Amino acid sequence: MVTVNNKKIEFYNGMTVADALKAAGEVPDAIVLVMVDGKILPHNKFDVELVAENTQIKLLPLITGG
Amino acid sequence: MWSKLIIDMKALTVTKEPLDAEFQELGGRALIAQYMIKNVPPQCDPLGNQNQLLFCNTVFAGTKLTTTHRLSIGSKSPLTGGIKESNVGGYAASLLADQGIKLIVVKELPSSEGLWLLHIDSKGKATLKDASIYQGINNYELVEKIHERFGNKLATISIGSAGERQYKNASIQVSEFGSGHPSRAAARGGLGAVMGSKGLKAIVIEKPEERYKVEYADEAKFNEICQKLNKVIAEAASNDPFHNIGTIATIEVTGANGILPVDNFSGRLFPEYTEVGANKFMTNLATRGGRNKLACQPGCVVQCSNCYNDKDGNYLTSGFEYETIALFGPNCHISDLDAIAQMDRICDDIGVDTIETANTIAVCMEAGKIKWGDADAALSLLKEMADGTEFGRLLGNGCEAVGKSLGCKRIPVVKHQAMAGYDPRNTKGTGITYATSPMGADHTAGLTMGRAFDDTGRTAQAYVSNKLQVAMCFADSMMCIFAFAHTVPVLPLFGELMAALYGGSPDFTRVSVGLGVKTLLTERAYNKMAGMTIEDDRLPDFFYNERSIATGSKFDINNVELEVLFDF
Amino acid sequence: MITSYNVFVPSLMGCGSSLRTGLKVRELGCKKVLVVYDKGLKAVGIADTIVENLRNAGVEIVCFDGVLPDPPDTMIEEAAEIARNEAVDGIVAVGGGSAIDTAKGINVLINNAPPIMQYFGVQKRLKPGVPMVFIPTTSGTGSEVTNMCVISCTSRGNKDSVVSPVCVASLAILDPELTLGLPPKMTASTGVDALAHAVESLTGGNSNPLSDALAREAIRTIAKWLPIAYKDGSNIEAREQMLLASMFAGMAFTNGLVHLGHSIAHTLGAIFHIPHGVACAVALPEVIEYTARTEYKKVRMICECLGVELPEDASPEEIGAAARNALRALIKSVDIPNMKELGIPIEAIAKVAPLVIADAGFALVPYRIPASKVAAILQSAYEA
Repeated sequence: MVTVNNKKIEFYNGMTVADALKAAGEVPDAIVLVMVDGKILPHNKFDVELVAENTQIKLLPLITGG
Repeated sequence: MWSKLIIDMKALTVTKEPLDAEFQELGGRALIAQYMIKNVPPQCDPLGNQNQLLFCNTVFAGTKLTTTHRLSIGSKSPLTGGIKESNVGGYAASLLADQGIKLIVVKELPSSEGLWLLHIDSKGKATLKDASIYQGINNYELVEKIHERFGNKLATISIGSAGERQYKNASIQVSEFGSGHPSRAAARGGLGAVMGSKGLKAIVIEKPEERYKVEYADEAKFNEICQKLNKVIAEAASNDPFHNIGTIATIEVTGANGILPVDNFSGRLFPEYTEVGANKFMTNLATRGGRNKLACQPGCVVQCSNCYNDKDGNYLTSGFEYETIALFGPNCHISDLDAIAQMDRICDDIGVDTIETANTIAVCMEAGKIKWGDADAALSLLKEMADGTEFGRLLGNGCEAVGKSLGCKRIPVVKHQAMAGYDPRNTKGTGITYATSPMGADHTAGLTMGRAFDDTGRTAQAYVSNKLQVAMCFADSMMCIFAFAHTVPVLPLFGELMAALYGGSPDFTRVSVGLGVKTLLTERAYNKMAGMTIEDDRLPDFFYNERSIATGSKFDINNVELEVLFDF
Repeated sequence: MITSYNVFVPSLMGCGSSLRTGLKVRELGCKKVLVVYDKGLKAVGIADTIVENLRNAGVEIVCFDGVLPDPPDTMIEEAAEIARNEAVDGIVAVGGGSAIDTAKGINVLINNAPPIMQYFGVQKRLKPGVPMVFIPTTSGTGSEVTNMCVISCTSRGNKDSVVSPVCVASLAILDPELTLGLPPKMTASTGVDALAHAVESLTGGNSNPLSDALAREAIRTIAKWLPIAYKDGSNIEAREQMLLASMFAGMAFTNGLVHLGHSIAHTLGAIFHIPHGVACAVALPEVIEYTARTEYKKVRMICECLGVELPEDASPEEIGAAARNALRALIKSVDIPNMKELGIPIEAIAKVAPLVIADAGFALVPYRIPASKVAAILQSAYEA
């Protein structure tokens, strides 16, 4: 299972971060940071970065600047 | 009944009085504005005897509202020449609230050479003590000595050598809850210089034996709503990048979108921003024993602070923030996170604003004084500031002073204060805030990134800047803006909190207008009386003329939109 | 300024084009569609013609004839339930803005759970719905080419919109013959709605060159043909031109967006229950005059499209005044009443202004205008 925030998604071989987000119904826009197993993944890498069984994806919307 | 402390630095007296009735339902930025317009002549010399330095708590101080213990410091700024409210986290506001103190007013100048500290002991007794032994001592060493002298159950508000030298970029540093490091900065506007001009080295607040009890109109109701709000904030904070990483996470968005300033706001992209980004930061924390998810004040659920160690695992700095990293980093063409952390440490230690100082370094690079990307040369310049050399003193007067002196044509300041880590061409609403905020080029006054259609377009930018500037005024009167940001779906609850605490109707306009619009208009009125004109509400020319290569954008917002921004 | 134009709907235009509805729906791959209309359209036989046309093309039909004006969210949720239960794979709406917006609302709820009010605002993450084909019979809201649907929120007693790709049709069919029967009052009211779309999109904060070009053409066309269509509804050329103008104006405003004129219309409409087009028109001339301070180049374009000649060195104030006069003349030529004639009490004006600036569209105004100045605009237009 791959977790996207609190949703559990069925894993399959070759699944990318983009696939996992789509399966979870998430379309993060530019202001949302996507953390994959504790590391921030830039948006332009969603299509190429593969996930594994038990990958945890967290969506962190930037509500304000710092 | 809250108290007010009046510190007369000429007579060297400390007087405790009940807080004025007219300030009872004010706090933070709102209180600063109303106090200033009534008591501090707008035309006065900021480093002269008529200026006053104010420290105050928020409207909800002493209650359980998360992050309500922000400290607001206010005065006429020696940098902008206008009203300045600089707020800061840390432990001081919480202990001042425990002591029953809402406001501290520091007035006059000492009649002879000297340095003092204000000591509020565990029994609530407040005295001025000679602090000449601390002359020239910087914040970290000072705080150690204060602990040796007074123990560990205290908070400190202090200036370093920069404040003593009355540098216009001097900050006031507050100790962090837990660690006690003087790493929380009331940075903007040179208020450290005002504190230095008054000969006040530090305020030491001990934890009182008896805690002040807030008087509620309806305590049960207050606690019920407070719990609701705290829950909303805590839930949202769990997915907040500031909680999960820290404010450095911002660079992951700004770096990708051309909003991150690069090479003195050249408008270029800096692909190496990942070297000073969230992943590098988290790796360094994990491998060196550093920490994030730290609360700078008790009870904070956002916990955006951190403790950053060097490559040998030794403590280097805390409260290591996006602004410092963006502006000492990519804006100076530097991609060495450790070097920037060192700069952060030096700035906190001598007590200067990292935003102003980093912009000053960038301007030095543009003028050819040192090379782009040369972190060692940048560190040497900081050392000059610390040592008070001739050039160091010039550096201490900020970006505009140095830029003019070196003949730099591109000086990114508004109302003489340097810009924060957002290029106004690519977040135009923020540019409108920079231009029009009474605070000068201040991002915390209304950062619009991600809120209005296209950040690089015109649509709704003025509308959002106006709304956020009002919101930040009342947010800065109540709590930390990072926690406040999560309360947008439940804003009316703040009206209910006001009623439960102070009585009267739970009308949200008590907050939005009473603390928001009124504060903004009061600040503008003050600045107008201080001599500011419409020309002060503009960005530097180069933002209008030079295209950002990252997006093709210029700051092409028309002047009429800026002029009428505060027509309410 | 760098701008963009993003929302586009393929269109089929011309007399008789509605008789290709069945063919087009089949081309889109739909086998079973929900046809959405109101009882009035059934009464005049238009709905039956479309339904028959679809059947002849071999498309299975489910009808929903419960469209109400100012579509309430409860009605839309009911219709969406039918659409889901019947597992339709397409939606055809025929009628005015209410039928089209009802169809859009249904499409939002086909794959996204109700209630619809949770989706008010700009929505980028809604699950897609089914192909939609829109056949407008008024000229008009332009809704057949926009990405927004306006819904009355029964629980809050106000109107709000869902703005989303899910609200964008796969095809708009513009058949002027279907508008021949539109009564004069409705011709006038929907015609000035289109005028408002055009002039507001030109002068608002999100305007762009492409939407500007469409807006200008719409204004020119409305200035010439609306009075004719109003006086002689059987003039097919006038109907054709008005239908196109309404579509151009719709394309203009879904990209350029609208501002103060529509914020006033939403507020007046909600409080005094006047038709949307009339509510847009009552203060539109003064609204455009206000924009001239910063948008004088655009307001000059409006004057040119209305046939008003201006000297080269005319000041923004002069341009604004000229536009105000010309727009009022056009609006009056189709007998749109003013606020006094509509029975709105003048004391109500001061109360309306704060509500106007609270409307979402207010964010698009070209430069900030406080409630007091909005009140002044309304007062100035009150018995104009």
